[in-house]
Amino acid sequence: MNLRLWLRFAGRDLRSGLQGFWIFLTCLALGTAAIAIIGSLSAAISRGLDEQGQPLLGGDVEFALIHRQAAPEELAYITAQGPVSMVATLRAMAVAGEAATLVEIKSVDGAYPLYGALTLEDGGLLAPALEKRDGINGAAADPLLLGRLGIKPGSRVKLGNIDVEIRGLIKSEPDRISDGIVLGPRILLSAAALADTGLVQPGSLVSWRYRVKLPDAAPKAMNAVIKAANAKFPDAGWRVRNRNNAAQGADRFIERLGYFMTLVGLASLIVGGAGIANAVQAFITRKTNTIATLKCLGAASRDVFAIYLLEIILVALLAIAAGLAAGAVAPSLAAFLLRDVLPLPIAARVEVRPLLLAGTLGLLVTIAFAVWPLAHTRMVPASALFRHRIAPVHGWPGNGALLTIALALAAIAGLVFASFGEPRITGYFLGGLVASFIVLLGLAQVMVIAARRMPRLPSAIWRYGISNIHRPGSAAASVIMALGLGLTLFVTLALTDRTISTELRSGLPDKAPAFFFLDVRNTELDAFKAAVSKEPGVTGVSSAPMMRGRIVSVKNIAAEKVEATPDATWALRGDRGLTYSETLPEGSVLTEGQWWPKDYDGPPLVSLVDDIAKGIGVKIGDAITVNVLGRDITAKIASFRQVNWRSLGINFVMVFSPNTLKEAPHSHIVTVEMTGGDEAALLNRMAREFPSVTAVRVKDAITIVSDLLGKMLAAIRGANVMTLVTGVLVLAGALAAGLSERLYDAVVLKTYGASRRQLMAAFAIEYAALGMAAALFGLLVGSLASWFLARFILEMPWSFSMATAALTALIAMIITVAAGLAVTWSALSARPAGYLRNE
Amino acid sequence: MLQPMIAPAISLNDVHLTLPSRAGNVDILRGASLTVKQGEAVGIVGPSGSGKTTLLMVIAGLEQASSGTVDVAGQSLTGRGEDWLAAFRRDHVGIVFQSFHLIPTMTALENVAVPLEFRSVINAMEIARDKLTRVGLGHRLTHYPGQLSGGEQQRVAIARALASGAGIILADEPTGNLDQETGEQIIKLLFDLREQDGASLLLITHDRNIAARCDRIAEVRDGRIVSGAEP
Repeated sequence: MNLRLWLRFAGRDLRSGLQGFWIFLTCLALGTAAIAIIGSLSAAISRGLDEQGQPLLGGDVEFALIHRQAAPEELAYITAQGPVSMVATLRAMAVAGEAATLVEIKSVDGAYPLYGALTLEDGGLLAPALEKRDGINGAAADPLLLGRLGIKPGSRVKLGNIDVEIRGLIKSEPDRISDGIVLGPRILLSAAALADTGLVQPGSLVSWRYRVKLPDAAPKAMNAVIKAANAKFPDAGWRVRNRNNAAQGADRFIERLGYFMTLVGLASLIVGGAGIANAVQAFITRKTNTIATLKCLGAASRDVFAIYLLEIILVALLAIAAGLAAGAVAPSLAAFLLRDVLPLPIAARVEVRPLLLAGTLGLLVTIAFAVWPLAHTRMVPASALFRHRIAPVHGWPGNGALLTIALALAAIAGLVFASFGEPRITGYFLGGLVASFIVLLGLAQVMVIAARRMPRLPSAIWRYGISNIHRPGSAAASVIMALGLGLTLFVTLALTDRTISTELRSGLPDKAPAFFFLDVRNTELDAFKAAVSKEPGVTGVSSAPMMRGRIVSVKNIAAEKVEATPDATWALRGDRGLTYSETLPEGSVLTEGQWWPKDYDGPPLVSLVDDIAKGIGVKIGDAITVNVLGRDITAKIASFRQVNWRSLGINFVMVFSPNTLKEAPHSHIVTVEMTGGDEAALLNRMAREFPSVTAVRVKDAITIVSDLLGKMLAAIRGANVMTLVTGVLVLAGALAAGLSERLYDAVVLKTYGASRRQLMAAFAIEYAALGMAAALFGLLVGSLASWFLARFILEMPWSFSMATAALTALIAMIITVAAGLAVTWSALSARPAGYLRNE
Repeated sequence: MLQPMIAPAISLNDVHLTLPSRAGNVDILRGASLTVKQGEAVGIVGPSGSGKTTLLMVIAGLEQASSGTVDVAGQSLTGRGEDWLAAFRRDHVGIVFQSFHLIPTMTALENVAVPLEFRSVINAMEIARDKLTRVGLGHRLTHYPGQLSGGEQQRVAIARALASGAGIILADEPTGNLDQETGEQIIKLLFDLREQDGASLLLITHDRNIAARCDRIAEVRDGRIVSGAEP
C-alpha cells in the first residue's frame, strides 16, 4: 500500500462532498484565520515601521541630546558623516486671547525633512511658512490647535516671549511616530523662532536631535558610524537611534499586543480542536460501514487509518487555506481601511512567516485532535457488517496514536515558545490549557458517575435525560470539554474587558493632581507656587526639582548590555526624569537601605524604585552611572523605595542625594491639586503669566492613554465574539457527533409515542446538567485567568464582579445550549418511518 | 491407482466460539465441523440464531474461534493477526452480503476494483471492467450505488467478490433483500460464475430451493452442523 493509493481512496471518499464537515471547517478556519490575521497585521506594521524607518526617524542615524545642544566637536563629527538636519522638540503653552493649550513645539532647519515629505493642507512649502515676515515668525500647526484655541489660519498665538503667525496647517508629518507620545497638537517653527521664544533655558526639557543622511546607507556603514561616534564621545550622553529602531515604542507595543492576541487566537483554535475531535468522531461513526467493508475486502487497519487521516488532512488544508487567505489579505485590507485611523505605516503585502506559523499550528491542532477518534478506525471490526446495527467505537486509541498526539502537542508548544519571546507567560498559558483539559475530563467522569448513582427519578423525561449522561456513547466528555473551554475563554475575556473598562472609567485616583506644570525655573518657582496657590479651587501645591538623564551603566556594565527583566528594561532605555531630595518623597515607602541624612555631603547616593532595582539586578551599595547634561555621574545605591504610581503624585525612578545634582541647571515640576474651581481658567491665567511654563492637564493625558486602552479593548471584544462563535460551533459539533448514536433510540421512542418536545426536554435536561458543570468550571478558571492577565500582563487592578462572571457564563451557556438544541431539533425532525424502512 | 491428496478448500474441526456478554458468556458455535472440497458448492441452512452467519465469519477470518481448528485455502487461521487476516481475505476469499455493502462514494467500477487495488494489481480497473461486463453491468460502470437497483447492486457485489480471483466465495443470504425474480437471476449468475471460475461456494440461505441447487446441504442447529458436514 502506498501514499498514492491512500490519496486515491481519500479523494474518492471526499466525492460525497463536505457534508458533516462544516463545523470542522469553520472551527479550524476561524482559529487559523485569527492567528494568521493577528500575525500578519503585527508583522505588516513592523515591516511598515522598518521600511519607513528613514522618514520615521528623519534620517539614517539620529543623535538626541536632552537639555543641551551638541558641542562644536560633536557637531563637527556629525556633520562630517553626511547632510544633517537639526530638530528641537519641547512642550510649551500656546496662548491666544483667553485660551491656552499645551503644544508640542518642533523647530526645524532648512534641511528638514531629510527623508519623506512634510505636507501642508494648502499644498504650500514649509520653509516660506516658517520664515520671519515683518518681524513676525511663521508657524505650521496641527489643525487640532485651531479648535483648541478657537483661532483661524493667519491668527497669531503666543509662544514664550513672542507671537507666531499660523501660516500653514500640517497634513502629514513623516517623523511624527518617532517622537513618542505627544500630549498636545504639533506646532512647527524655524530654529530662529524657537530661539526668539526664550523657552530654551538651561535645564529646559528640550530634546535636540541631529539626523544624518548617510552617503552609504548600508547597515554595516550605519552601525560603524554609531560605533565610532560612541567611541569618540563616550561621555556625550546622547541617545543614538538608527532607522531600524525609529519607532521602538510602537513596535514593541504592536509586538506585545500581537503576542497576546495570538495566544487568544491559539486558545480559540484549541477550543475549536474539541470541535474537530467531535466532528472526526462523528465522521468515523458515519463511515463505520465503509471501514468494515474495506476491511472485509482486504484493507489492513493501517491502510484504513491512513486513508481517513489523509482525508481529514485534505479537508483541514481547505479550512487552513481559507484561514490563511484571510491572513494574507489582512495587511492590504487594513492598509486601505485603517489608513486614516491607525497612525502606523502598514506594509500592504503578504506576510509569509505568520501565515506559515498559523498554517502549521492549524495542521498540528488538527492532528492532535483528530488522531484520537481516527485511531478508532483500527477498532472497527470487519465482522460489523454481519451485525444488524453497527455500534460506534470509543475507547483508548493505542500507544501509536497517543505518541502522535503527544508529538503534535509538543510541536505546538515548541512552535509557540520559539515564535515568541515570553517563555514564562507562554508556559503559564500552555500549562493552564493542559490543566484545563485534564480537569474537564475529570469533571466529565464525575458527572457520569454521579448520574449513574442518582436514585431512580419518577419522571420518564428526567430519567431519560439523566441516563443519557452515563450510558455508553455519552456525550458528557465532549460537551463538557467544548463548553468548559469555550466558557473559560469567554469569562476570561469578559472579565478582562471589565478590568480595562473599569480602569478607563475610574480614570483618576481620589487625590490625583489636576495639573503637572513642567519647566518652572528656579528663579520663578516661588512666584509660581504663590500665584497658583491663590487660584480658586486649588487645595495643594507640591514641587520637585527635575532634569532629564540617561542610565549609562549599572555596576560598570553598559546599560545596553544589562540583562533586565521585560518589566524593567524601559528604565534603561532613553531619558528618564531625575530628581534630588533631602527627605523621602511623599508617597514613597523605604523598603531597603537607609535614607541619607539632612545636609549629607558625601559621595553621590541614589534611591531606586524597588521593582526596577530587582528588574535590573542591583543591590544596595552597587554603583549606577547616569549622564546628565553630558556629564557622567556615578552614584552608590543607598536605598530602595516602593512607589504607588497610581497616585499620580510626583515620583521618580531615581532620587539622588541633593549634593549630587543641586548645582546642575534644572527646572522644577509642580503639581496642583484642585477641588472645584475652573481648570481651564487656571490654565489660561498661568500660561499668560508664566509663558515659559508648560502645563499638562492630567485629564487630557489620561484621555490619551484611555484611547490606547480603548483600542486594546476593541481587539479583546473582537476576540470575544470569535470565541463565542467557536464555542457555539464546537457545542453544536459535540451534539451532532452524539446525535447519530441517539437517533436510533429517538426514532424508536417516537415510534412508541414520545413527542419531539418530550425528547427535546430530555436532551435539554441532559445538556443543562452538563452545561451547569462546565459553566461552574468556566467561572472559576476564567476568573483565575483574568486575574493572572490583569496582574501580570496588563498590570492593572483586577476588577471582579460575580454578577458579570456568572451572567457571562450563564448567557454563553444558554446561547450555546440553545444553538446545540437547534441542531438536535432539526435532526430529530426525521420521520421514524423512513428511518425504520432503511433499517 | 491412488488419487493425489488435494487439500479441502475449507476444513473446520470441532470449532467452538464463545462471546462474552453482560449476561455472561454465550456459546455460539459448539463443536462445529465442516469440510468443503475445492470447487464444491455447499448450502448452509438452519433456523435463525443457529450460528450460520458466525460460521461464515469464522471461515472468513472475521471472528477467531475460541477452540478447534480452522483451515481455509490450505492455511490455518488460528492465532492470526488482524492484518494477516485482511491480506488473507484479499487473496483467497470473496464475500457477498445480504445488504450488498458497496461503498457509496465509489462508482460500480471502483467498488469492484477495491480488492485488486489493495493487492496492488496494475490493471485493476481493466479486470474490474471485465467482471462487471460478465455480470451484465458493462453499461453501468460509472454509476454510484445510489443510482443502481437492488439487483444491480448485488451484481456489483458479486463481481467484487470474484474480481480478485478468490478460490472461495462466501455468500450470506445474497437474495435476502431482493424480490423473488431478481433473487433468482442473482443466484443463477452466482452459480454460473462460480462454475466458470471453478471457485468453492458457501451459501447461507433460508430458501431450501436455493440450497438444493448446491452440491450439498449442511444444516446448522445450536452451533453444530447436524447434517451434511462431510462431502
